[in-house]
Amino acid sequence: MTHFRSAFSLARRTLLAMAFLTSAALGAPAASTQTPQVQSAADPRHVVEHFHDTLIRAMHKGGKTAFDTRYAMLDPVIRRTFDLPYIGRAVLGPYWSKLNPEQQKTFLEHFARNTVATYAGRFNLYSGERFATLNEQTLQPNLRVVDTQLAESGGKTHRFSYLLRRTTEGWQVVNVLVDRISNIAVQRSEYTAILRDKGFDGLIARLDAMTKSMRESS
Amino acid sequence: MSSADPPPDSEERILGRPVPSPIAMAFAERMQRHARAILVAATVLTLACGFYVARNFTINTDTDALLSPDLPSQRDQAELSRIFPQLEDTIVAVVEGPTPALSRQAAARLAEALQKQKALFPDVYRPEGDFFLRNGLLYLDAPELDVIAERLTQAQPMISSLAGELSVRGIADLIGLAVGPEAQSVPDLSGFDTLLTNLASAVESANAGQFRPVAWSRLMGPTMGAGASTQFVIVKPRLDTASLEPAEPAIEAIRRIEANLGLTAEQGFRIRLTGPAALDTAQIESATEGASGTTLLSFGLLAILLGFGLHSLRMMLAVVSTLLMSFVWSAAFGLAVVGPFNLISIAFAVLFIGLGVDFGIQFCVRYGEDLARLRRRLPAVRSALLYAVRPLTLAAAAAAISFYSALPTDYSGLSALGAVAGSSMLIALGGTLIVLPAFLSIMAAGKRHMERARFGLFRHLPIYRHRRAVTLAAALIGVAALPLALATPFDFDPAKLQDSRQEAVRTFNGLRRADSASLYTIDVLTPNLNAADALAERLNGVKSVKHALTLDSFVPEKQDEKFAKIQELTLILPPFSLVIAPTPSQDANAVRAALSDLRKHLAAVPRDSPIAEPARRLGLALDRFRSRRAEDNRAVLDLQRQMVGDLPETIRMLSEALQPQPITRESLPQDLRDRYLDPKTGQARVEVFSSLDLNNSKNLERFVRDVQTVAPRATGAPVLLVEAARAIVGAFRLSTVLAAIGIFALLLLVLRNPGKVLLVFLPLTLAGVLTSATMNVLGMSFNLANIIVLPLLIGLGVAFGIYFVLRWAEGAHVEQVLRTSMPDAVLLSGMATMISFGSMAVAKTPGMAILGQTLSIALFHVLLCVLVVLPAVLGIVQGRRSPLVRSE
Repeated sequence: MTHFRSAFSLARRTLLAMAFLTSAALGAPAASTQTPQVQSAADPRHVVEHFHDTLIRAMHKGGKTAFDTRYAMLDPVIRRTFDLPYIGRAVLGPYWSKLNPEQQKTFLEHFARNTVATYAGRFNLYSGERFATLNEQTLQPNLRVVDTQLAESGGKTHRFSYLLRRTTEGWQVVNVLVDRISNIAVQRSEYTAILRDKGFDGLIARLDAMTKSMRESS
Repeated sequence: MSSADPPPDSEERILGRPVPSPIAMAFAERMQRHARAILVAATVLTLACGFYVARNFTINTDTDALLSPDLPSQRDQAELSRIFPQLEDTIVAVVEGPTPALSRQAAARLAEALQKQKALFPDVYRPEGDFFLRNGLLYLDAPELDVIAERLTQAQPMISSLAGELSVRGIADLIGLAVGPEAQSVPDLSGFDTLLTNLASAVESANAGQFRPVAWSRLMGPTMGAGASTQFVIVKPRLDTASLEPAEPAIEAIRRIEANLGLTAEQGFRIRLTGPAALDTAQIESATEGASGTTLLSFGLLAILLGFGLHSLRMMLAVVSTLLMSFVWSAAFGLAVVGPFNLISIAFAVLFIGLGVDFGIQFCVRYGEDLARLRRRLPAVRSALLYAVRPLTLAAAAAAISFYSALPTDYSGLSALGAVAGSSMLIALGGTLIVLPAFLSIMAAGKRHMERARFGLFRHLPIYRHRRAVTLAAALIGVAALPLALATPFDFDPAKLQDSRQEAVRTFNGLRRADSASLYTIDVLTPNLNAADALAERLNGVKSVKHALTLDSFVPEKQDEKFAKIQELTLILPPFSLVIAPTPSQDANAVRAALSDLRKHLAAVPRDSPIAEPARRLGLALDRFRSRRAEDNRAVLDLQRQMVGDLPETIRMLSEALQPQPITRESLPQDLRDRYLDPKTGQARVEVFSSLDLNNSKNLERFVRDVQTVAPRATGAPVLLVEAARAIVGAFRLSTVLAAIGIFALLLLVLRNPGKVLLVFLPLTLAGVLTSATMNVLGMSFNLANIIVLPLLIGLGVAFGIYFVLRWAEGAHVEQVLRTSMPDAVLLSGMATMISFGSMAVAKTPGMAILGQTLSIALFHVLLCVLVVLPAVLGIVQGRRSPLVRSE
């Protein structure tokens, strides 16, 4: 059983690389821009579509110098679209309650920055990608799935499934599954391993390092 | 034919034989004249009795019926089984499949098929049924749930991507990612070797033409959905109580269903049947099979030994024929008067043959002695008869008293045995005094017998000379052995006596070794659920109790907290990510392409990688497959089936396990509720599990005692076992005391001298002490099988004592007594019983074997005490009596 766990953990690391592989290799900018919709009262499908629109717009601003521009553009949208405190909590799992409130706050802030930086870094160039919403399902009264598909210009498709939870802020994304791979699962495995091995400071250092490398590599 | 006997000569007087009365003499003569008529009548009677036995023979197979139903524990048990009949007399199907998930699926299918046959299977229950699959996570505590959550989190990417591509392609891609260039920086490859090894075994068995699917559910561990690889289906069969093997129709039906469902060994399934009903059937099978087998063997060995011991084929035939006849009469008498045999009373055969053969031997050896003296057949038979009447009648009466002493005990199995065995003694006596002389009267006597008496084995033993030393040694040994003898334990565990070659027994023993606490649970019936909960709480404070369950124990605690954790898990591992893609591609070419990609990925594994070895093994297996079977489309698709293994079932079960529903007392499944709460009366059952290893009888007793102090009306298997043991030991104790008093009174009446009576008891008592002490030293214990030796020991011990003391009391010097045929007869008779039943010592059934061993030990000591110790003591007691024989 333990063996298999490590096998999975291995797969998880490789798949982590895969999950964003597609988006990392995206192409040249194009010209379409749309006005963002007001989304606080929107239903789950619109929340997701608005996010996708923002992503596509950010990709149009692709290029080495534009990372900060993309970051600034995505930051408010991601913080609104995603329930980052909830995700951050879930990502640390049982370790969350072992942190003191100060540490929790620190982690959430670094985690949020890392999340925004990851999107800004991965979705860095536009080459004809299209997001299409496939369907919306209710899992539980306050939990829905919005299934979407990202079509690359070469014809390859990837499935992006968003889980949304109704909060006081309206519907917010709490997890994304890319081709069935759960983002929280991948991050939780990784972060809890770092927490176990290197402690809280090690985790924050790692988050910052990843944020930095996103900025530098894009 | 008749002729006058010679007048009693001087030797007769010297040997102290009283002169028989003329009336007795005339009677004996008449009997001899009608010898043929007697034999014809006996044969007719035997045929009639045999016919009757063959028509009416039954064994009451209900082992619980061995105890008196008036015992409190029996009454409580009866009450419990009236309210919860589904718990009684069950068959437990132990289902094992090639993988845990397939075991679970097989158990579910078996249960479903059995449920359709309501008439034969009124109740079918799966302890780890679908309800527990769906809601299993709620029964874990918070830290356990965290562990599961972490494990599932780590596994999510792999499980979900495989769920999306359940084929060799999916597996190949996964392995490609794991061993591909991006993975090279990952230091931890230790887990992957297990997966590769499993895949390699699957390919290898496919190469060998076997079906051994990859057990993904085992790789994932028992807590994730599928559960353990052994699954149980508990079946309440309708029992055919009229039959010798009441559960047989049900067992056969289960086997048929199994075959119809394709749960065969070729598909990697094994279903073993055990549980009380199956065990009872097994026990009866081995009892009847063993009884007939050993009875034949006993008779055979007996015949051989008698032939040699009596130095006469004819005498042997006469004794064996007489024995067989009176055996049939006794069996018929038992059936007609006492009723059906039970598993204890059937052992009357042992007691009957043990003593019956002794009577025959005593008679024949006496006859041989008289034949050598009188040189003529008829007078010799007559003389033997007239002189044997007294000792044999007394011995038979004493044995009958000993066996009848079991009548007033609580152990109805034993009292039935006492009734049959006691009566059979009188029948055996009749046979020996009427049929055996008739046989001997019409059979020619061997010339050699006329010429020379063949007895006197003991004439050269210097027992008399060393009488003081022998007596002293016996006294010392007896006193030293006493504490040991009293410490020999009684092991009441019937399971140890069963034949472990039988599937039901072997399976039961295996389960018991693995988890005795779950097999031996105590039940307590309470008026309502609140009382049950209160009692359970008190019982949970008892040290030997692990936990006490009521219906409410199945309502998990802290469900809110657990649902919050499970909710989080649902976000991480949403059910839709576990939805299985449509059946894998049945296109053999696609599978071939995937196999070849997999081969390439494996080839890329560097030599120094920690997974190099399993990767090489899998690679070789794939090469072999390609070179031999890759052309065959069916072989290719079969290989895919083996590699994908139970992954679909595993993922489906996991997915179910992640969607529990809140549990209340009312939402528990009906069959579970009905096992703990009677819907009609509201009476509730508490089920108590022990924290001790109950394979040890002492622990079992402690567990029962502890629970009884809190719940005096506790019942269930452990209580029944312990209470039965108490009843049995009590019954044997009571019957032994009664036997001692009865025999004492009888002997006092006949011998009119308490001192002589004590002398008869002496060897018996000493032999009893030495037997028990020897068993203790050898690490043996008394149990339900060998305790039957006790009445036999008393019967034979007293009989031998009587023969000796009677001869001696009639005035002979002890050395003269030792020179007669009697000690030889005692030795032969003891040896005959020892060899015929001692042969059971090598039996495969542990119960039979231990009975045989105990019997051998007991008879050895009886012979030692009667033939060595008793003469020595008599030599001291007789004092002034002169050793006349020396002058010879």
